[in-house]
Amino acid sequence: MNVDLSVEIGGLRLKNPVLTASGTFGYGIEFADYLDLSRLGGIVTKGLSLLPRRGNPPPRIVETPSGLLNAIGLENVGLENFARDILPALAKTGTRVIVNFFGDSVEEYAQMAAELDGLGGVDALELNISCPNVKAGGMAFGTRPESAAAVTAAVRARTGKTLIVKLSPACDAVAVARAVAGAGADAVSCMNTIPAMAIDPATRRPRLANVTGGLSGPAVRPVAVKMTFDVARAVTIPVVGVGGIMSGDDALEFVMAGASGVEVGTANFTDPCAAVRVLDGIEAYCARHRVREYRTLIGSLLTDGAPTSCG
Amino acid sequence: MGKGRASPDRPAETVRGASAAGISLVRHLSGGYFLMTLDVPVSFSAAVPGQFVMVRPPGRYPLLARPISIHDCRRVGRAARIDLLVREAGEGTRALGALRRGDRVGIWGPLGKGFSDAAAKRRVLVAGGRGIAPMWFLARRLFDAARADRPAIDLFYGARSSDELHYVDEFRAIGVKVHIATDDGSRGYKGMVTGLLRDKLGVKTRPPRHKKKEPAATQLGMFDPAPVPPPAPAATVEKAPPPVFCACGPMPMLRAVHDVAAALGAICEVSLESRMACGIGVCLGCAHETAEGGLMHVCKDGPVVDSRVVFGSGVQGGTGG
Repeated sequence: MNVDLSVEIGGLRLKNPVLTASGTFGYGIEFADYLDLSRLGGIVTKGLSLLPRRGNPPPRIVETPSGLLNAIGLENVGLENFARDILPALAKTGTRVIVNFFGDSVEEYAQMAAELDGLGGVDALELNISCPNVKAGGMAFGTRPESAAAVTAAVRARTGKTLIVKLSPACDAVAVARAVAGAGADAVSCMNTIPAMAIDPATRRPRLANVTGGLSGPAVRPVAVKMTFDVARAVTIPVVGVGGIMSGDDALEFVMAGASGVEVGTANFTDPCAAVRVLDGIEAYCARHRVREYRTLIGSLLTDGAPTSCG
Repeated sequence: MGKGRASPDRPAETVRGASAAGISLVRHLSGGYFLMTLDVPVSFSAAVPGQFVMVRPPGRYPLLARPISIHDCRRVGRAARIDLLVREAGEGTRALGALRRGDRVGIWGPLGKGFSDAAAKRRVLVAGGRGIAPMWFLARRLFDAARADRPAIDLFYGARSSDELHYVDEFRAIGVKVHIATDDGSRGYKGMVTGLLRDKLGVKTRPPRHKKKEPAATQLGMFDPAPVPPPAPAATVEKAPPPVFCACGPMPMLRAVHDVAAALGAICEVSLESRMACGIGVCLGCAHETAEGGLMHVCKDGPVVDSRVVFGSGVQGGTGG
C-alpha cells in the first residue's frame, strides 16, 4: 500500500513527519555514513549561537534509568562557521534543514533570526528558549509567557521563515504555548529536556560537573506526550512532539495526542539509524492499519470522555 | 543498514550503518574480565589498533551503548570478527558480560583515531588494567609478517593483582618482552607499572604534581587537529633513537608515561577514556580539556592522541633528582 506520509508544519512542507531533535544529530552530515539523510522529513541542527561556544566542563553526560542526563552547555561552532563550512553540504542532503538557535538577549535572538533569514538552504528555524544547562538565555526566556512572547515577537519581526518555538516542560507550557502562538510562532515543539540531577553517594558529588542537567530518553516520554496533548488542545498552530521516541509506535503516541510531526532525539545515540527506523515503523503502522494518509492520524486519540485535570 | 537506501552520490557499500552482531564467544576470565567475540560485517576489518566500537546489549537496558576498545580484529571470509576484552566496571559492561553465545548486540564502528603507524625500531607499550585491551591488537599488527620494519616491543603491564593480568603468555609467544607490575606484588614488580618503567629505562622523573593550567582566555576551545611537531631530542643518556611509547590506562599512569617519554625526547601516544553517548562526534559528551586549555572530543580527536595534546610539551616533574 502506498502511504502518503507528507505533512505541513507551519507552512513548511515535509515529505514525512520524522525530524531529528536538536543536539542529538550534530549538524546532520555526521550521520551520512549511517543512514540516507534524504529519507528524513528534516534535520534539526545542534543549537547555534552567534559566536562559537565552548560548552560546559566534563563530565557532561550520565545514564540514568531509561534516560540520559546531559549538561553539554550548548557547545557549538557558531553561526558563521556553520554557514560557511557545514550548511553547503547539509543543504544538498535532500531533506529539510531546520536550524535550532539561541541567544543571550532578545537583541541577539533577533540578530540571529535576521542572519538565518538570509541564508539559502535553511528551510525553517527552531527557537530554543528552553535549554536548562546555560545560565544566560535559554530557559530564562522560555518559562514565563511574557518573556517567551517578547523573544518570539522579536524573532518573528526579522524572519519570514517557518518559526518553531521549542518549549520547556519546566513551566506552564500551555500558557507559554498560547503566548508564543500569539506572538507569531508558526509551530511549537514539545518538549525540551526536563531539568534534573543525579548524585553519586560514594563521593557525595553530582554526577555532572554542571551539577544539574536536562533529562531525555524513554524516561521522559509520558511527560512529553501529556504536554503535547495539553498544548495541542490549547493552540491552533501545529505541534511537534519530542521526548524519548525510540520506535514508530512511540512516535505515534505523540501524533495521536495531537502532534503533526515528531523529533527523534536520544535514540540517535543508541542507534545511529534510529530516525529511519522510526520512519519505517510509522510507515508499517499505516500499512497495517490501512491508513492511506498519515495526516489523518494527527490528534486521532480515542477517549471515552474528557480527561480529568489530574491523576 | 537494513532498509536505508543509498543516496545518489553515496554508493551503498560505503554506508557503514549500525549492525546487529552475533556473539560467537563469551569467555569469563579472572578478575572480573571477559572476552567477547563478535561476528561483524567486513567493513570492521578496516579497524586499526586503538580504535573502538560502540556496543549495546539488546533490549531496553542499558539505554546507551558503551565505547569499547578493539582487542583484536580479523577478516573471516567475506565477514570479520572482532574480540573485545572487557572488565566489568559498571552497569553497561555488566549487562554485556551477562550475554551468551548466540545473543546479538547493536554495534557501530570502527571509530576514532588509533595508534599511529610510524616506523620505529623499538616500541614501548604501557598498559594499566583494562588498558591491556588494545595492546594485543597493536602488538600483533606491529609484528605483522608483511612488515619489513618489525620492531622490538616491550610491554609494561600493570594491574592491581595477578588475577587481573591476561594474555601475558600470548604476548610472550609472539615475541613481546613483557614486564609485569602488580599493586599487591602478587606477580612481578610490586608497585606501579610506571615505577617499573622508570627503573627499566633508567629515567628519573619526579612523581607528577597535579597543577592545573588555566585555559588561555583568548582560546575558545575548539580542538585544532594540526599535528604536533616532533619533540626536540632532550640531552639524555639514550644514544640509540628513543622508542615510540604507546600507553593505555588510567590518567595518572598516562601522565607518568608521558613524563618518561618527554625525558627521553620520545613520541608518546596515549589512549584516553571518556563517557560518551554516541561515539561519532555528535553528543559532545566526551569533551576533554587539552593542555592548551582548548577542548577536544575523545571519540573523534582521539581516543589515541599525542600525549602532548593533553599533557603539554614539558616534563611536569622535571628530569632532575
